[in-house]
Amino acid sequence: MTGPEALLTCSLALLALGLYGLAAKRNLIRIIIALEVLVNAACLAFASLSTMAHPGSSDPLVGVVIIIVLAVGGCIAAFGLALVLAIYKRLGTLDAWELRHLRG
Amino acid sequence: MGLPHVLYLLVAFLVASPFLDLASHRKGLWRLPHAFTLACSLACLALMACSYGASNGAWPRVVSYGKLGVGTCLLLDRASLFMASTALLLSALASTYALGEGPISPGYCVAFMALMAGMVGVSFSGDLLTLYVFWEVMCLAAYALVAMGEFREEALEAAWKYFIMASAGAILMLFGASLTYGLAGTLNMPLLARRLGGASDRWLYVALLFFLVGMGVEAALFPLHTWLPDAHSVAPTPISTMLSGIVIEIGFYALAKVVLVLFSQSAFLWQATLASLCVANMLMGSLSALVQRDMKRLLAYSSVANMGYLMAALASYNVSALSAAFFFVLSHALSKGLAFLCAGHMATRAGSRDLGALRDVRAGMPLTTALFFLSLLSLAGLPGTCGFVAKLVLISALFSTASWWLGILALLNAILMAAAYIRAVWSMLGPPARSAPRSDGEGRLSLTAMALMALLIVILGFWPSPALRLAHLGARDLLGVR
Repeated sequence: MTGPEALLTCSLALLALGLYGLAAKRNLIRIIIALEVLVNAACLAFASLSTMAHPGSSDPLVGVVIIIVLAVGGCIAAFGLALVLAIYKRLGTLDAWELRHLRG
Repeated sequence: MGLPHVLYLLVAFLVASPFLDLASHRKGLWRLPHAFTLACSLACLALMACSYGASNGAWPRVVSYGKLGVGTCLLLDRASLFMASTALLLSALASTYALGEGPISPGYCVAFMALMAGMVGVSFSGDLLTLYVFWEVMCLAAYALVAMGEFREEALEAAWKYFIMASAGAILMLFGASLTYGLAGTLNMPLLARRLGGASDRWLYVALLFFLVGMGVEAALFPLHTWLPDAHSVAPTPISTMLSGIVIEIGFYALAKVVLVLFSQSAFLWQATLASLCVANMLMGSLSALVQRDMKRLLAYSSVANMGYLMAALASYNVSALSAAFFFVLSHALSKGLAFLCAGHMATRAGSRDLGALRDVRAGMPLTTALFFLSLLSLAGLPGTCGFVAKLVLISALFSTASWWLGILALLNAILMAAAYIRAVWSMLGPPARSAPRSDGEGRLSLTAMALMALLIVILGFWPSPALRLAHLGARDLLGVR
């Protein structure tokens, strides 16, 4: 396996890890960490695919994409943590399983 | 001034909105943010109408920034104009309603402006990175607005579910974008369409799957719709209107744009997937709506069922079905918007969203009740309302395509949904269980907004041809038919 392929495999592994974290974790902050892992996996996928498409050179587009996606990822984390703070103040819990009052 | 200026104007307003929000909360002027969002949506609508009137000739139009393939670009066609103007129209009506209601949390103005800018940006964007950025702007604003709901505990829970599902979806969409980038070396949609033209790579199908799952969360595709009834029922009333009336439809439009422009060569795959999912959407939505006691939840489930109609039109991959779908979006925005406004208006007075509680306050608010029944009948498809025209055009278009069986299913679903609405009307018509609480008027401005929507519903019911023609032009642009 060459460099870019290893990176792509790694990003797919991170994708699986992030989705597992989203599905299986109960702590709200851990769920946000899983989301951030997903954002980084997407960035890594862009980087590895760019080196596959243009071997030996770099595409400026990918640099732009990664910077912007990381910035958006920061916004997601900031919003998520603010939401967790509000939930903790109001409901006094950090357990996702206790957030199941709305049903039907 | 051209169409891109609408987007620049919205972003400029968005940058100005925090200062306005701060000022209005310092001085206690709670009407100021609503007046601001109303003025912004009207200004953008006017600008869009002017530049559409002044434009001549070729659609779709590509506005590039920077080097081709590296810089961003906007892809303007009449379909995106139709969606963006529907979004702005509904924002104007929802803001007018909000002017007549009480104050909402601080930060409302910023989030509402971001929602508007995000929706217009998603409709206009011509490359996948721009699409992703505006998508996140729209979604983050929507989560924040849901969290501002009246009953804070419920609102926070619903916002959390929405946040986790839709953010994960957006990132999966980004994965899809990275795979298409790996296959074609660009994110620019017109270029991608050309370069992916003959490709039939395995990875292309994987990318398609990522896009379907990612955008399907926002567009409430069947197994991914679970956040919708929670979020749409607990959000503040004008926001429920926006979310159910247009935000999920913008999600549908983005999905349609991506699969029609980028994946037209693997149509057989997504057609089959969407056709089976739309059946699930309709069944799930209408059966759940039939058993609801909570009025806003009933309306939210009916949105799930209505997304099934739109998916059926997309799955049939046909100009007349798609143009009917665009008209359906407009009709649904008005009818569902009005239904949510009236239901929220009554629920605020009753202190509960339960059907029985709404029956108790019915006597004190006759005009709201009348408008509410009109909106429900339009949703059920009564002749003389735009809901009837939309369903008639859509179902007859489906019958004339190769996937005619979708037409039969849509017809059956229309009957089931009509039963749900009539059940709601029936249970509200009975005698009140307890005497109505003190009535403090119906609110003149809120009533004006609702009456305007009702007027539009009736006008479109009797005179739909101009809107139908615009929807047809949009569908032709989207499918690339000359």
